[in-house]
Amino acid sequence: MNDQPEAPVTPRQMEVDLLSRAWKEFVRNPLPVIAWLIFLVLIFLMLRNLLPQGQQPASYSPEQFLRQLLFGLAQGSIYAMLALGYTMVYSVLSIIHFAHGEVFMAGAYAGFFALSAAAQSGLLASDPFLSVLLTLASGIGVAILLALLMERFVYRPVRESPPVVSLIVAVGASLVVQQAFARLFGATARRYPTVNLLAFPWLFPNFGCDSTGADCRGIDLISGRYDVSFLGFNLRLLPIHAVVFAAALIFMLILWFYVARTSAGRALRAVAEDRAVAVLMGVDANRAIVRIFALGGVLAGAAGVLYAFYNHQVSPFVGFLPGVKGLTAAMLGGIGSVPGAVLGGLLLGIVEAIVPSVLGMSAQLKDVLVFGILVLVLLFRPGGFFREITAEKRG
Amino acid sequence: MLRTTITAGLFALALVTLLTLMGVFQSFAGRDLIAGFLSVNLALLIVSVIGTGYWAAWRGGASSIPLALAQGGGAGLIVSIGLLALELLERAIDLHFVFPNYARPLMTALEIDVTPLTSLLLVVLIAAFGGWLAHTMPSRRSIVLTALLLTLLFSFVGERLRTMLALVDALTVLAVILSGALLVDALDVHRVGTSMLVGALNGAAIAVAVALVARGGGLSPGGILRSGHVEPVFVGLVVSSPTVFVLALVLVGALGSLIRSLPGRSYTVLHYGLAMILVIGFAATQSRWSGWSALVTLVVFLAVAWYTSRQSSVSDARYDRFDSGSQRVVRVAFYGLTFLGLLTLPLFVGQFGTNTLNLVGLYLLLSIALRIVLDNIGLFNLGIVAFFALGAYLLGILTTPNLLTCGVAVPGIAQGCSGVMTFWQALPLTLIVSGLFGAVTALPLVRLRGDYLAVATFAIGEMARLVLRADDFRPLLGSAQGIAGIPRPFIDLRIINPAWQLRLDQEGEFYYLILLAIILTVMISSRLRNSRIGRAWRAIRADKRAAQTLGIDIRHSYVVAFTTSAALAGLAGALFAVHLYGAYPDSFTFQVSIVALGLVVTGLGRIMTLGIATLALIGLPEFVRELADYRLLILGIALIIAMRFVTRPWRSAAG
Repeated sequence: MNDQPEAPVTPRQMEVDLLSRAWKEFVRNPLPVIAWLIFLVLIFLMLRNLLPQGQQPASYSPEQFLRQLLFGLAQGSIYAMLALGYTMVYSVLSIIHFAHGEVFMAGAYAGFFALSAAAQSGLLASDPFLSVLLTLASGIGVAILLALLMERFVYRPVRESPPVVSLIVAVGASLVVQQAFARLFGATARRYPTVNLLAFPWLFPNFGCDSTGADCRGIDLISGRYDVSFLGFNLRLLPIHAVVFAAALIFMLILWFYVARTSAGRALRAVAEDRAVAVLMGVDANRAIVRIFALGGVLAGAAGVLYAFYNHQVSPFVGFLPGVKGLTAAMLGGIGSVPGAVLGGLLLGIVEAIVPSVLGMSAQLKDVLVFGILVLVLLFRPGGFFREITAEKRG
Repeated sequence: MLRTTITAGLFALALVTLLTLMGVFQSFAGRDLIAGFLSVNLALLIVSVIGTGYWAAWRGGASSIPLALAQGGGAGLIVSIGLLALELLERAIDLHFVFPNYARPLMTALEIDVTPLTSLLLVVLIAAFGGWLAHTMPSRRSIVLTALLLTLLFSFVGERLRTMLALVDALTVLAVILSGALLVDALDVHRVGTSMLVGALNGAAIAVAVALVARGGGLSPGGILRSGHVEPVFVGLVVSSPTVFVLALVLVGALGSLIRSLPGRSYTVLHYGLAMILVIGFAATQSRWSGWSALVTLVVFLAVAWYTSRQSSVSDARYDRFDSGSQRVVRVAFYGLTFLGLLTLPLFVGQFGTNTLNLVGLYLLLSIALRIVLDNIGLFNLGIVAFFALGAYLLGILTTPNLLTCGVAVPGIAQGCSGVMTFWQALPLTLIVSGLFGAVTALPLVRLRGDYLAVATFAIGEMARLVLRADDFRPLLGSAQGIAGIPRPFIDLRIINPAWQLRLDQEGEFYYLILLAIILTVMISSRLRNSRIGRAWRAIRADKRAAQTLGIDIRHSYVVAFTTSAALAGLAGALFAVHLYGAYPDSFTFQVSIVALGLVVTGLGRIMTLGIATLALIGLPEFVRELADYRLLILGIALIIAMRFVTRPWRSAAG
């Protein structure tokens, strides 16, 4: 800047200089410092809970950890299925499909009515497997319908506007769907009928007979809970968690097959890559976008039904939090990236299940953690955390 | 042509069926639009059928009257057949399990006894009328539609409006303003000062005349000033405080004499306001909201809509001929008149009405705060509730008894001790802290893209809600119970005059505090808009990069906007806590953010329309409790429609 020879710098001056520079840096961009402070506090809280305090054992036990891990995996696969919906819509339209949680809710509601009908007609008692399949199918069907309605009447009219307009319109749509459902089907929560889906009698001939005393021709996949001792850990296993995880895997495999191996899927990928060029190549962009919303509807509807199976109730507002968490998961994995969404969902489920008790927070603050993660991801890694792992190689 | 009609008909059928299953046409049971003649439920059905016909004809082009009638009627036919089918379905199977709000067959619920064929015919006829509406000239159509809508609205809340003021009140005010304006015209006065003088003298003359009549026994039972069922509110002042009465009329006369040279929009607004006063005055002469009241309302609004549509441009032209100084006086006169109206409002609307007005005012305050960010820089803040809650809780913590002042562990229990601060000490602190909090959140957020910023602010709002509810912070924030017992502000001027002390615990007194806050907020936001920083905002909005090259610090400008907005939201929150005598976590949900956002977006960027939107969406459901079930639904739909059709800053703001 100036050409005058610099005066010799004393150590004291250097110190002041360093301090003022650090302060200026802090004022310019306070984020790293704040982030490190938060991080240190978290580490401190974690150590306090994980290490034994004097004579007392640590307040967090490995048993707890395993239990929460299993629950977190199930919850995480729900989030992953939702996150895929956000990510796919984003990859094609670059908008945040904020009303996706309502699609999930609609799926859960349709499942509820199908299951209630099955319970009333006696189908549930005579053929539980078929009823569960019907429940899933109706949940998926209605979710697709709602997703397509939203695409046509909410997103398409504002497709050419800035993305934030779509977001706000989606917030409005979310509100409208919630309120309309509350008026149509009643605002109070409704209880899902209990399903006893006994399976694998050849694998578990006498399983759980002693604990419930009920029918024990196998393992109750939907509402069973079994106390199991495994490697010295006393665990309560809920088969529904495994079912959710497996179902999520199956649905994601189907999705992957559809997107990666069919010609319709190729059209989707082309539109996601570059809509204008894809249109020039003769791809019907509108049809591809409709398909994307339908696919998101399939996953959200299935997730809604599965979630309701172990959450046992539906209400018009049941989709809001899972929806936001799905969005957080998608953001965490880098919105627009399919493997990122799956990883982000599982990670979020596990984090949400484990971290609050590790940190000694009350369960009420569990969701604060999720929203905190959402804000932090948006601030520090808007591209997501797995970009390096999941980035596809391009030629 | 046939296809568009069928499509439109089916679409309308889907919507009407949806409304039916929601129970919309049955939810206003026992509420009459016109006493003993038309129920609200039936009116809603009629309106939706008219809408069906209108829509079908509009979609189909409606090129000639028979065609428009046929298109409207055709769509109506489809809807009525669908509704009859639904009725048959209802008789066959019980829909109550799935649709709890659709309890009874529609026609029975509407309490009309007609055969299916007659009802079908009626629906077709009404829909055909809708089709005819779509065909008429746009100017005539807008007059008819405005008058019809306003009549419906007034009938809806008629029973409450009826008792607001007496006919003499309405006539006195109208006489002062209209005769003043006529006098100015007749005397051919063109100077603002002279016409105000003429108006003032005219007002004084009428005031004296009314006072003389009152002295002559006009106010005694059976007197000429006591006609109707409602005690004269304003004219009643002539006995209790005659000076106030005369002064008020002089002021109204002076300001009102300028009514014929107002800018066009203000001219229209003022005329509708006068028409409203007249309608309410007439309704007061009836023992209930009768068919006569509805008819008079319709005629008055038709006349006003027709008259203003022709005359507002004339008034506009007169306004344009004034020099800038006179123009300013005219504008001030308009605001003064509006202000006078607002100032005297608590006199008329009663305790409950004032309470509702206070709530409306608080939401208006919050919306204006949100508007600073949205309208100036086009960024969406979905977490305004965080600042609203911060203001409320901070004021609550500072003004309620706690450990510091009482030495008792559980706050709120100890008797006879007060908070750390009084309201007036805590309010500035609340403003400053909310503003600082806004600045701190804005600093990292403002570099985000528009939709990411919206999501991030949404998350912050949700975090605030969850933290308020959490048991972890019970000693400070009170968890689910919140902070109760926040005292009303106390104005102590006993040093000047021993009688001057005022605890604002009457709603009518608290109203003025809110009014003051709104006026200050509006002034701050308009001053900011026209200041250096406001110009910077506009420049950024127009072209971010160009603004940057001109040396505008974008980050700084954004942070200023966020800080102001947060501080004002904190003010709204603090007043909200005082309004409720406490801060409770259930008041601070995402809904608050959406409601404020919806109000700002549907408020079309003007304070006047924002006020009307707030009145409609916050005030109306308080009067008509059944509406509260639909408030958020209506808001959501309005938000979607407004985002789609209204051009506002976020269109130009890069995403």
